[in-house]
Amino acid sequence: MQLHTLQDIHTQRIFSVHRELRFFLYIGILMIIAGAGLTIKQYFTNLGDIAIISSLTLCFAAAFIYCFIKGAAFPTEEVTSPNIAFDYILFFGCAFFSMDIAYIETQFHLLGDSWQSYLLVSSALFLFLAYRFDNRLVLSLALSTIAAWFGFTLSGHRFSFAEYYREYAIIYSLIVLLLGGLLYRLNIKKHFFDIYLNFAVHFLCIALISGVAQYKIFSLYFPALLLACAALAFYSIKVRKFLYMFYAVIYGYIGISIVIMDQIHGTFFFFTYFIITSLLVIGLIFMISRKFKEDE
Amino acid sequence: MNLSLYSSQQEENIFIRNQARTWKRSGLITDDQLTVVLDYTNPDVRQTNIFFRVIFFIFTTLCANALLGLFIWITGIRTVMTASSTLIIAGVIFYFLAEYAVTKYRFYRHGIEEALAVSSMFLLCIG
Repeated sequence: MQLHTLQDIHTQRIFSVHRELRFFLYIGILMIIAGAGLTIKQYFTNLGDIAIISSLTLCFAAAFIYCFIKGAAFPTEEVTSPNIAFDYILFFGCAFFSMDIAYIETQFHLLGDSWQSYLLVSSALFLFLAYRFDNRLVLSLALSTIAAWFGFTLSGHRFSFAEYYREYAIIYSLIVLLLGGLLYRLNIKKHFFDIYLNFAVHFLCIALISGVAQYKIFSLYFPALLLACAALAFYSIKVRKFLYMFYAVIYGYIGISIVIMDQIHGTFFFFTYFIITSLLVIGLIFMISRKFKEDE
Repeated sequence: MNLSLYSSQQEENIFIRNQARTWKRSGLITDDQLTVVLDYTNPDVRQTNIFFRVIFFIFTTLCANALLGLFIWITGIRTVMTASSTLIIAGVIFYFLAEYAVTKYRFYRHGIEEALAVSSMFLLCIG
């Protein structure tokens, strides 16, 4: 049986179209969302509020009902989706839900100045759905929505966003990291931790690099960036996930280069710096990869 | 005539190993079966994971171009003719370095030899 299956695959009598199907499903859903958004934007006066709100509500309600009927009971471990379209239907439902409340708020201003609360409610709902149906796409949507809420709320009430955006990004990344870490510790969907970590790493490192670019070595941004990259490299080695080593090397190199480029002057030192440091990075990665091979 | 630096046996072994890993991920073969396949199909080349490959590619490209930049700055090349000759010669040198990296260190899609080969083609075209 196994031999026949492998022979069929080898002779290409059967072949997988799983990736292609997922790709087209994703593109299809995105096009539907974009199409619905554009239609509403262009024809909302002709269609009328009731028609738009009821059709959007019907769409997301249908998507959520389908997911609750088809989806398996909630386990704390990773589960596979009941079918290939399931994840995208949930994503479709979340997108239509966002569109619906965005339309309601734009037309009726129910919450007025507190409209950011919609973002918090949406992110809470997306977070719940992501965990309930084990959906990484919706979890990313939830974390992006939290980021938007974070920025709008803080900048609206207390500080100027342009002045303090770095601090927002740093605080946001630390909160996301803590939340991900806590849920990991509680053994709830441990495989989601990578998504939390990816969000936290990019927000944190880009914010720190932006600080390094402005203040160079004369601030806490530079040591904080080095510390973050060292922690990331250490974590990468510990869990043997090389993506984080990649992040650590790239972000660390950019930060160090900004500081050193500020200190050195002259074309000779400029070229020499890049020659020596790139050779050092290549040597370091060689040593790390050899160490991993020895451990295998 | 085979222009590849790798033998057809090596290419075949690499292909079989990749297929076997895919079958393992799909649950078509067991861990033990995968180990047997990997033992029988050693391609005798040095490979690395995609992330290290990208790092090697980026930093080799950076190093090669910084070396070339330093050379052009030291020699004070000004004319178009000399600059284009320098780029062509650098392209040829990088090509042989890429070939050396493959034959001497048995690199296969390792990032370093790819960066040298790409830089070589780029410099030859510009030159």
